[in-house]
Amino acid sequence: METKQRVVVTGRGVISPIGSSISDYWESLRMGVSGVRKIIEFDPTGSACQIAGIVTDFDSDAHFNLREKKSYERFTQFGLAAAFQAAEEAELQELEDDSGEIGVIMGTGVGGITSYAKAYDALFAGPEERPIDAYTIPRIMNSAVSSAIAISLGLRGPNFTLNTACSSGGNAVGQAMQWIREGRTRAVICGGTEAPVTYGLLRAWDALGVLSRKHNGTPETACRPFDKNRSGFVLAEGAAVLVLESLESAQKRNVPVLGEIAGFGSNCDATSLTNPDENGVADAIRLALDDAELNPEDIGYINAHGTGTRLNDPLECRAIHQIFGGRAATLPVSSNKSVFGHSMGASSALEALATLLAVQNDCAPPTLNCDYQDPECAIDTVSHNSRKVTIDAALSNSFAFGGSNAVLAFRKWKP
Amino acid sequence: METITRNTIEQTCLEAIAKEMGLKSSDLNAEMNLRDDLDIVSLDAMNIIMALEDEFKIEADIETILEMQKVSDIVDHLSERINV
Repeated sequence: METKQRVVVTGRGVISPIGSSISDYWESLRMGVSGVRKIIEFDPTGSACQIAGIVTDFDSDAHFNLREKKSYERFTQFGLAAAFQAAEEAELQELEDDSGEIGVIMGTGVGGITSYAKAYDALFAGPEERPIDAYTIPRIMNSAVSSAIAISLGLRGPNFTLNTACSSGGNAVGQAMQWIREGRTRAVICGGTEAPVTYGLLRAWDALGVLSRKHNGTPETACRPFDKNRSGFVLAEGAAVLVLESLESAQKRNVPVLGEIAGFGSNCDATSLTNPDENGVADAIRLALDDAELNPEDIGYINAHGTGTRLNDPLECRAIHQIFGGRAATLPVSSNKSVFGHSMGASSALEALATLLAVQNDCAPPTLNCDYQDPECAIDTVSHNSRKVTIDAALSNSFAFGGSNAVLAFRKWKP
Repeated sequence: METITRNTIEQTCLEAIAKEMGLKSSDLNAEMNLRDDLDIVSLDAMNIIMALEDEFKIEADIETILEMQKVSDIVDHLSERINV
């Protein structure tokens, strides 16, 4: 059998409601410091859910000049800022990419929705129509983020923005790994970014009945994955970016290897636009394990999709039981969405980063608010407090409307 | 209809440019080059033109304006359109 090219992580970047550096992000995750708060950016009256995971420490002026701020929508700015962090850690600036060996692939769900809203406001919100900003189109383009990263860093390899709803970032990371394995690129900047907290989208998600409505007064308790009293998720924003690189390239450049991405399971339930399917989810987990040449007993931690909705959590637990059998009850599984909310296309990238950090630190971050565990969610949810545990390999589960599943397998770096 | 003076048009034009480009209108003058001095690119120019069209209730010739070099060229063009 042909040996697969090993693909490693050499750079990480993050902009999130719980911190916009790797150290702040991990510390908040490890300590279970919530990033969910009351929405003050606009008046959320009319939505039963009035809280979200908001990035509060992002200084656009520190990263971008006026032209860039005009051109780059908030989701693009997040993605770029995270990419800059990752590229710096990977020392990518030392590479000249004249031959197009470094690619970019980013995931986003709703892209430049803020500028869509502004454009419609200009047309319909006042007594008279107002001019639409000429920068609207470059700001709303989903692909603006991957293009802006390539432009800023001079990367001439393949350049994609991918949308599979809430698994977009996970599929982007997995696809990046495939490009490197195939020899198409030596390195790829990949991840996900989203800035979806707008009035219109809040109302739209609220209309679906999947947002938490009972905890506006105590936002940090709103998202309660695997808890009997869970009532949904909260919207969030943010970005996470990884630099993936062939092992050969990383060793040739003598840059530190932070972990190995070993497997990718991508599939579609092919059953429903809105209802997940247990067998599709289980198949995606199995595909990732097979691709990584890992057995279920090799996995020390699972970063769950864990939305905190009535439907997702028991289904995900049943899928885990399908694959892990008797071990499922004692295998540490946690949901980061309980800490910073659900950032749609970025969530799977933020959670992939958290999974990598869990492997690096031998520490499973906690699930918050699982006070009364639902018997239908019979797993070890790492409730309330993080746990030191040996993690040689871990999975990051991401599912999406449309049934597009993406499961990533990370392995501790061992030369 | 009351004639709008060239001075008023120039001042409105400088204010529209200042707003779009994040500058102070008091730092600008009509002899400035749109690209070399003010770093205006086509999308900025479109926003400036739309603001002036809205202000003066006219329709400017966009292609002509995009080829202009100096602020005073825009003022000349607008003066012709406004005071017809």
